[in-house]
Amino acid sequence: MAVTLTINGKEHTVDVDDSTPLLWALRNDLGMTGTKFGCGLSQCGACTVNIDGEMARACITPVSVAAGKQITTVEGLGQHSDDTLSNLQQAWVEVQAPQCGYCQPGQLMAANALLTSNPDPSDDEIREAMAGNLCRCGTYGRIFAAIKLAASRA
Amino acid sequence: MSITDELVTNASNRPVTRRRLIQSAGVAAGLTIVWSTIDRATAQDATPESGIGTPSAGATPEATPVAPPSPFPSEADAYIRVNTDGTVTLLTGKVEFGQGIRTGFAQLVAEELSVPFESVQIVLGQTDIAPFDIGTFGSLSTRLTGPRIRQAGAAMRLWLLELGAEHHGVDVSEVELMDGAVVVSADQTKSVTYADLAGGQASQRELDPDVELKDPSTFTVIGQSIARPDVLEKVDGSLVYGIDATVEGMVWGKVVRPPSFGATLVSVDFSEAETAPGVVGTFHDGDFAGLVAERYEQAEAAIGLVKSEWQELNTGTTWENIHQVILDTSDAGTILDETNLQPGVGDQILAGMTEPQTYTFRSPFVNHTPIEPRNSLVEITESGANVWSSTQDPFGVREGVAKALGLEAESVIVYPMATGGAFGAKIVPLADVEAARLAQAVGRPVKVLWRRDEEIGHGQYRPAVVINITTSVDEQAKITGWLYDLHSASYFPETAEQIEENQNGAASDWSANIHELYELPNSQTMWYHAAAPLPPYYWRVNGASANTWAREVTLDILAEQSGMDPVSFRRQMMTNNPRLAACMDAAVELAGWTPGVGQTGQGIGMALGFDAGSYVAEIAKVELDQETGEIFVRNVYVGMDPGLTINPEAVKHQIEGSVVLGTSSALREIVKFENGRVTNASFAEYAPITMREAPAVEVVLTGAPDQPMMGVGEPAVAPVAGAIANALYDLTGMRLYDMPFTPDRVLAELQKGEATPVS
Repeated sequence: MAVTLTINGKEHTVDVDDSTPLLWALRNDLGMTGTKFGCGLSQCGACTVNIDGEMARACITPVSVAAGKQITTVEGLGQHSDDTLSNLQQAWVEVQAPQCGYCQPGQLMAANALLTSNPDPSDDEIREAMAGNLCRCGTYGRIFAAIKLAASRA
Repeated sequence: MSITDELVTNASNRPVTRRRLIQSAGVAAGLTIVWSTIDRATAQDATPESGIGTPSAGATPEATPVAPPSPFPSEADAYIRVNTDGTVTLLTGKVEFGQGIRTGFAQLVAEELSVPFESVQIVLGQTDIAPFDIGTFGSLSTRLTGPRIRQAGAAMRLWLLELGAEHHGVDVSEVELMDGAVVVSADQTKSVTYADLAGGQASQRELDPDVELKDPSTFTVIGQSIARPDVLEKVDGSLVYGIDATVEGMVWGKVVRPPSFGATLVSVDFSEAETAPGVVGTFHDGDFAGLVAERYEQAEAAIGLVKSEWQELNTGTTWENIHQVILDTSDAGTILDETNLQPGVGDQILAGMTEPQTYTFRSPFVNHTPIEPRNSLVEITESGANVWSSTQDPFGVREGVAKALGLEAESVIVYPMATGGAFGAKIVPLADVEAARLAQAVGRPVKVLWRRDEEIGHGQYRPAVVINITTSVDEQAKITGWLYDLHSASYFPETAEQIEENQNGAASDWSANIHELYELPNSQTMWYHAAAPLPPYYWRVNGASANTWAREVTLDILAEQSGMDPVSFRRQMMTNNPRLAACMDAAVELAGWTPGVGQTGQGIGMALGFDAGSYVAEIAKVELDQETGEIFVRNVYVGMDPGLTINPEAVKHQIEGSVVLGTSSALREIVKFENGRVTNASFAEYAPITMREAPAVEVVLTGAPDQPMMGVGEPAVAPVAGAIANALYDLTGMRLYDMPFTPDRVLAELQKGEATPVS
């Protein structure tokens, strides 16, 4: 069946079962592969997107639930190729946060949701908000620094 | 020059050490796995003779290395090309998974060839055009491939100088390289670009290990913390990882997994799965069964409908009794190393000890579990096959897929994609071979993507070990003897024949042996080989984590018995090792630590390490929640000497990540299993640390530019557990001899009432 999704401000129609996880509609129907698969069980945060400004795990969110809402993915934050990286992404680059980079879109989207609701988070609030996003390379210190840097400039 | 020779040559002025020899054995080992099933074409070239690079019992390490023929190209043109637009292309068989190789290697080329960093393009691991490489593991990139790239750069530099001199009609001594051009030194208006001089041409030069490299005092690119350019693609989702690769007509494969390791497939029933939405086809051959569907989620749903019956081994081994099983099933033991080569030296060392004590340490099976699960896309073509893989070893993937499809290796082209973490998980081409078999069966390109439970429950594992250290210290604070007994499985799967051939310890990981760092006249290391209930494999820094933990905790115990602080006690055993002492002093200063004798209540502990040619000292500061038993590692201070440092910030990044991984494994990581069945195969149960538990890491690098480049990906993992354990003792008086240091184990110690927490 056809489901219409509003992603990064644009409407997209996908022809999938309405129980299909948003993750696979984004990745395999719309070619938006910045949102990553890590576990499929909302236990790692690699698929984190924002829905109506709040953090959501795309791997357990059916397209039927996301339909009609404002979905933001990492591609919507900004693109380096057209020089539109967001404040948060710029901070990420400045502290050279990623190693392999695979978890970073999810980390960015979790941080984006945090700063949207709480522009000046405490250290503990940052750690609490980010505790659902795993990084196996161990870049937590730099992600923390990037969030602090972005918050200081907001 | 051989792999072994290179490792030995790179070892600066120190004698050949076990770690390096083990690394060379590890190189062979990594290939051996593939050969055992795949008949790797290069095996003949790369295979050392049996036992090469590993000392047999009683032989000195220096006496045994024998060079196998090098499988690496010796032509400079295989590595570096000058393009017609004046840019330079570096080709390497290495791959990038965040360690910064793309950037560091470009710096090496830019430096030797005097071109801007930005004008160096890189081809990583694409098997039809990149030079052969053994794979990206073992912290070998900078220390093994790095010198080769510098040699290629130097060969090209000499070639360009000669061409330029001829062009200008002057002697070679009268020209120099400057920013992508050859100029006359006395008149720099006389300049010709590399593009005009040599664009698109082959140098036909050979690598020369003795070639004169650029003098470190003139470096302008090496040693600079150049920002990694690929970070830009990692913050906006545009970087294409293995999981992101697609090809026209692609479908998704899933494999029927056994309930436990060692199980054999009795029967499989696809009747329900075959009618599920999107299913394209099913496949069954021996123990391998799988299906293919149009969409990933359809394949995942359908595989759940497959009914399969398996014959399991039911060994009775569990994560709780594994250490006793290891002791019960260990062989008679092999002497791996000793400082005194007299027969019966172990008994002599024991006899020389005053009141010897044995300290026993146990570490568990652990899993790699990179956030990007294993995946591979295989497309069979008229001429062979194309593979887009998330891999550490593209040439191993080529061999594996070729074998599975009955093709010549050269007809398979592997495109290694950006890889979302690896840590040793992506060396053996498991998903690649699965995808190849399913692609052949269904006649369409197939992508296989593992789930998280497949990663944790059906992958490979750093094997559990039991370490017994028997030692004593005399009244002059000198260690009178050191007997190190390592009981463990191999670090790679072995056939019975391989075990028989490798009775010299090639399959063990006894790295971080005490001689790596400390001067000690009477010691012996034994390895007792035991079977593994789960497939053993290399995990970032391998056994050095457990070995370093056991050694460094024991040294702290002996220091206290001697009435000395941990720093002073160690210092008396490194009189000829100033680089190690410099690391230790740097870490102590960074931490602002005033060490004391025994438990001081500061919650600070230290451990030292040596791995991949790099020295490292780590100091941890810990806190303990006495209600929950949770240990918090708040800070880790690191002093590390990796020799010549290409990109200091990138090296610090590797160290930070190493410390986080080491902390995670020390505090939490344990694979639970019963009868070969992994029972905690999810991130909820096998839970790596998060930002909440991650320590703040500070690093001082002490490497000198005139030292060889050494490994940085792994060395800083090894000392973390020992530093944490010694810090926990300093805080509480508690010694934990079982890793990981989980809250239940901490609480159990607290309830014994012997520990005296200071908080």
